[in-house]
Amino acid sequence: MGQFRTKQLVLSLAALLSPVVVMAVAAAQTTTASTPALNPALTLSAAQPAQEPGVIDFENVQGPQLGAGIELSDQYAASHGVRFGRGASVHFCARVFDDVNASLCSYPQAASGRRAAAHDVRSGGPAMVMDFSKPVSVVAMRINPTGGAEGEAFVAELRGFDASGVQRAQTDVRFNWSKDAFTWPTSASLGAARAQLSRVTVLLRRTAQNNQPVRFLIDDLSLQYAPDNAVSPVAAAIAEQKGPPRVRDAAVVQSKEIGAAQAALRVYPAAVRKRTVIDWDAVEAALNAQQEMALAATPYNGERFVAAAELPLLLPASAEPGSTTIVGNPDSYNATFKVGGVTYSLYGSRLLTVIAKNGDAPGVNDAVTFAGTEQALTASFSVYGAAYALTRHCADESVTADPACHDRDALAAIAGDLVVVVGDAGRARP
Amino acid sequence: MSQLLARFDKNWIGVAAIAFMLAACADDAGVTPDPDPDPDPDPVVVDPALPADWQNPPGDLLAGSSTTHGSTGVTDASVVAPFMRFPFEEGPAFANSQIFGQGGGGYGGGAWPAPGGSENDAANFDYAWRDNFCEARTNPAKHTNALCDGGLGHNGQDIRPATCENAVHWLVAPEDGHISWVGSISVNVFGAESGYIYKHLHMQTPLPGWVEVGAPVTKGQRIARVSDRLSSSSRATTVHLHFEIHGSAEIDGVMRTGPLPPYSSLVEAYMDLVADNPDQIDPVAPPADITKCTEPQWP
Ligand SMILES: [Zn+2]
Repeated sequence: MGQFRTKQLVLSLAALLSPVVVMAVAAAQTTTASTPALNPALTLSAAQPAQEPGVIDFENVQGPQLGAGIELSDQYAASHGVRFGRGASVHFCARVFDDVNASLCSYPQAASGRRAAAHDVRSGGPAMVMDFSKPVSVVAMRINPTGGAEGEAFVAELRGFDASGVQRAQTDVRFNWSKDAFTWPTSASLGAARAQLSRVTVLLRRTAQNNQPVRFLIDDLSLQYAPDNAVSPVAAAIAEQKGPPRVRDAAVVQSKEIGAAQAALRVYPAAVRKRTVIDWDAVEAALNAQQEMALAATPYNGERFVAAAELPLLLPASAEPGSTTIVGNPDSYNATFKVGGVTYSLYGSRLLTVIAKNGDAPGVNDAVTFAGTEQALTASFSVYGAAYALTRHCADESVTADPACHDRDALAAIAGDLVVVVGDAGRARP
Repeated sequence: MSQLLARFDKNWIGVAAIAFMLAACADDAGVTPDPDPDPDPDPVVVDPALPADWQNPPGDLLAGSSTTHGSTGVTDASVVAPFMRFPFEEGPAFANSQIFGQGGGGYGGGAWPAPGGSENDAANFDYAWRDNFCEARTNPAKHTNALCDGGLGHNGQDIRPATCENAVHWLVAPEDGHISWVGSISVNVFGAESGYIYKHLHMQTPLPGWVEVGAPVTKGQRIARVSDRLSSSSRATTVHLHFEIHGSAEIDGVMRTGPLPPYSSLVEAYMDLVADNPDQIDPVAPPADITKCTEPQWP
């Protein structure tokens, strides 16, 4: 049953990625011929957005100007691809309407213009919900409670979800409210250059009152649409594979610490370890293809490990800024990073320890092998001749407390966002 | 311990092996060899030593305790981490099953019955060691293991410290390297020599502030204390270390990254520990009061 489920997932991943596989292969063929060396120009930079961002200032919403505001739902569906869920309404924030029943604004004006959008927790539930027909990568807005005590602490919680409902982005913005501000001082943004968010929720909590969700206003909602082509050459190369990753051309290595004399002292023999051969031509093709797609890893800690690495490193393109830390040695590395508030690890190695399984064990039968534990879910795979494992860590290291951490599709989505990074040592094609 | 038990000393075996090799060389050359020009200045440690039957062989699980009710784990005795230091600062230590040990809960709703007794029974803190990599687990979502019977099983080796006392015994880094993960009950170390990830579960929290991802560690450096924690809010397991060695492997000509069988590496590392600390071999009498096992109280 475990094998059947794994196959199903691989097939669905392949089906999802198949048009891109063709594109990536085509790109690889053209670039390999023209550029024989690894491209030294590959740097760590944010990917470019595929479209210009759009801003919604709520100024052109039509409707009767009542104290409850104008209900907001699909007024921006055609122009911006966004629908608002229950509880959202547009309010006037100009002084001329300073009758308390006519406005929810706690400042004498909107963040811009005369109108802002409010969310009522009684009619709409705790969070304002925005659903996008075209996925967005980054969402930003001004946010403001409808009132408060001077200096009172609030936290704005923004969450982003992909098309299958998996949380992929999270931001908490803490601030203290003051009435002595000319305009709205607080901004909040969510997402990353490569994120694909189909739903965004916004919640404002009152810290002093048990973190209770309260009514709030937003304005100047800024949308950056997700790039059309979201699948990296790495994911395409993984999706192409049919059977289990076979070991080719690996050479036996002797560990520094296992000399013949030490070996003679052992009760059990030291395991054989092999160093694999890296397909540097394929790595170079991937580097060129991802450069054309403006795809790059987010900045990371651990540059010296990358510089010394003699294998291609796979790293995320959409990790939260500052969240990626790499450790390693020339043949292996481990990166930890966060996406959407969830922590992942990515391990890679070109050193293989040879293990004989007992006759009743199944061994490895698929291109991607999923393994779940109480603490995490791991996908093991091979690409470019090295072995890798991508792990999603469960909150509090407990799948019982955090069942979503075993979602294989969510892990596959992270794998779909990996890029190749090659350091100084790797450029010599060791 | 007992004088009735035959003594075992791996240094003695090593000397015998080298002597044999020298003799073989002499035969080939047809001459009498020169005396060793650079004799080993360190005297061979002969005593004290571990009892001859101190460890069951790798892959020899408790009878009927594999997922298919067999008793076979990974019988390949290869030492995957010969450069490893034993993960406890001090001995003695006892590698054995938790759920099928005294006081353990059994498994599978009676399919593998609980053995009775209590956690601090002397039997749990005595030799012989027992491999429990691939021990019975039946949830495919939580215990996939390509190396085990039925494709399911325990991913590591469980080891009890000298006593059942909670949050007393130190876990130390098995290799020079860097901290690669800190969870609510776990600390992982990336080994700079091996490239493996050493995974340690059921650690006391909160961990010391200097144990953080990316921080360098040296072999033998203290990194956490061994406890009975199952999560940040649960102390439902026994006081033990769940130890895993993660790395990439070739299994039947196929690459796979995941837990490697750690038992024989632990055997070698433990012999190194007791060779350096011959006074840390003998089991300690268990505390009369069972509450000793669960102190200090939460948190
Ligand atoms: Zn365990």
